[in-house]
Amino acid sequence: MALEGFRCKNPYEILSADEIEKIHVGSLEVLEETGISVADRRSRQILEDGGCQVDHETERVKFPPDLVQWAIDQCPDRFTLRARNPELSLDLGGDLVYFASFPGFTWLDPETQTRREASVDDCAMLVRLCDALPMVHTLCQPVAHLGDKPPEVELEWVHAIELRNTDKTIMGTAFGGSSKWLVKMVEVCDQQTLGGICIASPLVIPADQAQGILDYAESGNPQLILSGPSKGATGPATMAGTLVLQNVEILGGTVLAQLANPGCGVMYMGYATPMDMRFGTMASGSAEVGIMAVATAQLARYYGMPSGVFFPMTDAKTPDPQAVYEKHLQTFLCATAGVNYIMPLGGLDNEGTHSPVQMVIDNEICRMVGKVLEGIQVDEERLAIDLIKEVGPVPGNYLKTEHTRQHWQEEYLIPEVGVREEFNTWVMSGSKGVVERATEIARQLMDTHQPNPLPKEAEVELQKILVAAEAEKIVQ
Amino acid sequence: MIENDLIAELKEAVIQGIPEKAVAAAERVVELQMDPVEAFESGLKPGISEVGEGFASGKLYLPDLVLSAETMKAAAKVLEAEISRTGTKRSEVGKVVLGTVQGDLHDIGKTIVATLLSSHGFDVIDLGVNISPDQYIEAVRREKPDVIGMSSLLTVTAKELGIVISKLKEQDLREDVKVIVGGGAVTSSYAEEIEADGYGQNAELGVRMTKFLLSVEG
Ligand code: B12
Repeated sequence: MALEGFRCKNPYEILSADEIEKIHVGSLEVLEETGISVADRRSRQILEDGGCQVDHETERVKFPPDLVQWAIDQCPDRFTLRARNPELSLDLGGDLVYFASFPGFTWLDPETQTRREASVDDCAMLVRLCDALPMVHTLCQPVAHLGDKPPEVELEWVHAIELRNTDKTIMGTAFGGSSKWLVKMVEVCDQQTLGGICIASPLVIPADQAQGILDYAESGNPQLILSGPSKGATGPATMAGTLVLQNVEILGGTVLAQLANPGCGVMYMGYATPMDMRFGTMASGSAEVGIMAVATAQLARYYGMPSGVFFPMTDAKTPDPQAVYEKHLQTFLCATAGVNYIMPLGGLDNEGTHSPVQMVIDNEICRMVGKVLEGIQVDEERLAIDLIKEVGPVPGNYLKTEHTRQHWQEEYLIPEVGVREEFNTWVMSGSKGVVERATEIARQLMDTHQPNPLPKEAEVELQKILVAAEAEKIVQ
Repeated sequence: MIENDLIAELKEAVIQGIPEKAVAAAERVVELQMDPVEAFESGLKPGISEVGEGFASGKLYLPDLVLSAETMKAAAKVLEAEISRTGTKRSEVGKVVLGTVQGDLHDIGKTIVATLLSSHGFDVIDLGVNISPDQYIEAVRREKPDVIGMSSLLTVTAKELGIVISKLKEQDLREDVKVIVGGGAVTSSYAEEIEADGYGQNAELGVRMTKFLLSVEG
């Protein structure tokens, strides 16, 4: 049993089979001749024992093509991400599409629209909103930083807050050794996490990320391996070149994961963005991001791995038209390309802020895009031939038929934030725009929504793990 | 006559961002025993400041700026060798050592700051990313910079900035250099708390702050 996502039956494609082959062959060449710098000693040893050519002095690891192919063959094309409530588990792979929340460094206060550093309580409130919104099929932590906890253990705290405030599945991290503790936390909560590994472009697996790959693989938690070269800055200026680099980095990480635990679940995750050469910022809301997402899904399918993307994103600073058009285009492209794991909900300002108001708007975008994926059901009842004959020309109409009453809801989406009423009604109800409506919904859910509580015993164990992490990580 | 042509060529090479061309011109300058300081001041510098202005006004883009800075660096190496050989001196705006702190691999912001500083005539030594306190200290001893700049984008690595500053004090080097900090994890109040001399919210403000600290005009 798993959460019902959406299904993408005929994925939109951008690359031809021949072009994919070229990216693959080129990637094998880079992996073999240039390789990747792996900063963790034990990981290098595992790679060396597995057949890589390793220089421990320079940390460079070169990957023979046969080994890369072996690792690809080990990857399951589909795996379960187990929640403590089985109905909320994810079935990752195939034609399934799930939506996730997106993290920010700070969060955007709904009423004042100002950026704020999150406290433990703010973070819990933001997690509860993720728990409440139906399009958040799974969570990536809403904030990556807590103002009221020591930085060394802020991620351990964030994950504990997630586990306490939602029974949906959560994404893990590896930064600063957090994977070691998260693996223990999800175990006592009787669930899994989707470990999150972030390769540093170009061509570096940082020590903590390598350790994370091992922690997640060895503990039997599936993981995503994420690469995000920035086109023109930390990757080639061309999309094709950036896709090669992204591919090299993901495959390199995958080899390590499969050597550590053959057959473990690895998600192929893209995060490539172009750089805006006027400001030196990442153009995270650009159309190119969506185009590369389509190619990412194709490459993942080619390798028989579930796919993910670390966006949709926007460079807009507030929930405004730019935020909506940029995120909508990317969400639409990702979903129709059949990306299995998409992260549209709540992100603003290229990871700078997480916005509850934007969450509610994105929830609506996801419902609409999901509707697109559902497509059109064609059968005798729905073709309604007999009905059309029966109603005939004007003055006949369909409002008064039983057929309409039975089917209108399954075929139409009722918007929660979008304005649909006619002008005068809209004025009489306060002339509220989308942002005001979304603010009210967000506020109400954050104040009232009650998640399913974490079982008592799990809570006790979770607290012990937090204490142990603090004792180990904070040098007095 | 040929001297003016060579100086114009140096300037042009920097503007176009073609290192080979600039290096060839610089080598000719040395060969002909022209004044290397003059070549620097009238060739390379006006070239890079033209590119800097073009970037600031939105006519040129980052790749132009970066390639021009690289070109400048390559030609400057040739001229500087000659300058120190002949024992002359060129007027320097200042020397900056720059790096991203230990544990942090974010490279881009720091690189942009480095490029913009060099386009404003600073002599910039970019140490790279994941730089330990000892590496900073070593660089201060070796390069004797006027300023050290440090970047941190992660909250967990922000404390490294303070650690480097304490180390500088321990080693009696704090009075020798100005310290400027920046990057996403750093706020101006944090910069004050750790007693940095300056903070730059972005590359341009970073350059302005550096100029202010060294009392450089413009
Ligand atoms: C690109 C990026 C990466 C790339 C970096 C590639 C590279 N080679 O540089 C990769 C994918 C490798 C990466 C990795 C990680 N990242 Co990152 N990354 C970013 C991102 C999206 C953009 C950073 C960037 O380059 N911006 C563009 C430049 C131009 O801006 P800038 O760096 O701020 O620099 C400007 C100013 O700050 C200033 N400045 C900078 N330095 C200095 C220095 C001086 C002296 C002065 C005066 C001025 C100055 O001038 C610059 C130009 O104007 C940010 C989000 C964001 N929007 O900032 C997250 C972000 C910084 N990353 C973050 C995180 C968490 C990580 C990871 C831990 C992810 C993970 N879970 O594994 C790893 C850590 C790796 C490591 N050990 O460092 C967080 C930090 C949060 C926190 N609590 O600290 C951010 C904020 C994203 C988020 N919301 O979660 N990341």
